[in-house]
Amino acid sequence: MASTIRVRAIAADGNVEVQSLIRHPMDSGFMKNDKGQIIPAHFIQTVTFETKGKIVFTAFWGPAISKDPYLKFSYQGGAKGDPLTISWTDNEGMSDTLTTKVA
Amino acid sequence: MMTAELSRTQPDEDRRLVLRCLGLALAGGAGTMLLSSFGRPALAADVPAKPVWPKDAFTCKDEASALKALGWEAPVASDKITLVLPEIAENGAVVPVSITAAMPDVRSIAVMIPDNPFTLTALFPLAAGTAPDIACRVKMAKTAKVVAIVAAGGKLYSATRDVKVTLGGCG
Amino acid sequence: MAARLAAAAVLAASLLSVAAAPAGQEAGGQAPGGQATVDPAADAAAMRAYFHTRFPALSLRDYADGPYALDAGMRKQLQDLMQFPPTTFALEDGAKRFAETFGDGATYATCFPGIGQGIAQDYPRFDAKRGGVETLAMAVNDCRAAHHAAPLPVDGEAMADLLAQIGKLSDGKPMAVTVPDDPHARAVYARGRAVFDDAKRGTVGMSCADCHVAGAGPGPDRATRAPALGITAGFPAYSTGAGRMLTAEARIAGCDRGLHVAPYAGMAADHLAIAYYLAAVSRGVPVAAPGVRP
Repeated sequence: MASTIRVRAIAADGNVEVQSLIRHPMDSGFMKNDKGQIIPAHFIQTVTFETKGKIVFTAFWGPAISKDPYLKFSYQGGAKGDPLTISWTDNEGMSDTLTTKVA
Repeated sequence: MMTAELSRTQPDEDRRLVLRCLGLALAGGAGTMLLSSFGRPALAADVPAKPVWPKDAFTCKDEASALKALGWEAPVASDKITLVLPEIAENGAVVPVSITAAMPDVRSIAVMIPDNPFTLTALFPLAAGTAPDIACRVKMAKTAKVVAIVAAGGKLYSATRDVKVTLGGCG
Repeated sequence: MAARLAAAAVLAASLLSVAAAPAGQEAGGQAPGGQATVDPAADAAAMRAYFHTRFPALSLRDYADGPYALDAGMRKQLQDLMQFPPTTFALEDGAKRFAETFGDGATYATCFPGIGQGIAQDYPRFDAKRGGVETLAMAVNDCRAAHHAAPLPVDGEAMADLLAQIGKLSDGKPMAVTVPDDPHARAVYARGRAVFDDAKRGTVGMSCADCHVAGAGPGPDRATRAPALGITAGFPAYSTGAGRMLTAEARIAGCDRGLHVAPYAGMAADHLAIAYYLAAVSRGVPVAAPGVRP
């Protein structure tokens, strides 16, 4: 199955700018389906970005983050070719991980 | 796509979490154990190796209890925080937000939307070397204020923006 | 429409040269029954001139962005969204689906000229064989039928993803929907224009044009209405509100819900006619699909 994670990590002058998009419904638990039934909350709670054994960024999310969530941040001390591992877990215990290389 | 067949969070569990948040807020200061994670650590090593989602804070329904659950005091408004949001969000389902903090030693950035069902929307503990400059997209239930809270140098700062949410039938 | 825009057209005619179809290429004159004069080229020129007068700073390409074209705050929201477009996953899925090989070894490229590159600007089009308007979704299902594949629901996610990919393959091509010299085609166009201009649509009692021509821009409820010109060039579009891709017809149906139009026989045909009319008067606006809408 294809990864749920899309990421762009670009190094410039020792700084790495990271943008990611994760395929996830991020159901808030307050919306109804076509039949008028509440769609249970289903949302990513934790996203981590790790490079060379160190977590450079953590996002803790509630259910009010938009569907297919987007993130942008940057960290220092990275270089082109570095591995960057993105992992998420949601409130149902589902998860996904992707390792990419800094461009 | 995401599998929909896995078991869902039990309603009882949700209710219990909400009660726990309220109890915690009333008790006052009970969240101090979280202080080292999101508040005033002096060492980068304090960033947890396996970050644990702060469930108590995310179930709070107002700003005061969410702050308490994080072990945070009331923040002071600061013009060193640049909080960028649309003045008018065409649709509350996807509202782009970016936060930049210009003060030194930023340890955490939080996004709170007190008029949403749950106040705490996102919490970003920053590792040393990670820029206090982040962007994400949030959902807003209605026209409301969005608060960015920054924990830096042992103090708490905030910036607030009002966002008008339109859900016009004809876009 | 033509009458209401005539003044603006005259005003702007000296300011810019408006592309008009060469004589004889496109239908003109009376629709069946003599009810409506049909001159799509003139309507398109008037539409373009009207909006050029109202929003002189906008390029034709800007109109494909719909409401996001109309002010700096809206433009910023779109730019933020396009940093990592919400259409990303739909396009990936669409590309995979478009590369699908049917049971008989054929692909979509077998059905469409130019391997499907540069066809979206010609839809929806009038199809004499079908005796009515043909959307890209119908053409996709015709292709599937010809190669013994089951049809896809026209409002489903799979179809929207495919249409997004086909739109992407036509990126930048000027919309080129014309109305052939066929009484039925002229009638459908006239019907689309009449319904769009119908001043008492639904219990709200407004016309589509009230919002998307005279009312284009920020409304009293602060929502920004997309200009009619080029409105279909960004479809299918990812609706941030719906959280999924919508076809132009589905979006037009959404407007009707907003106007509280009671469902009636022929409503879907009317939505199709409106889409055909809007595409025809938007000729020249570059395709920028899949787009994003609030």
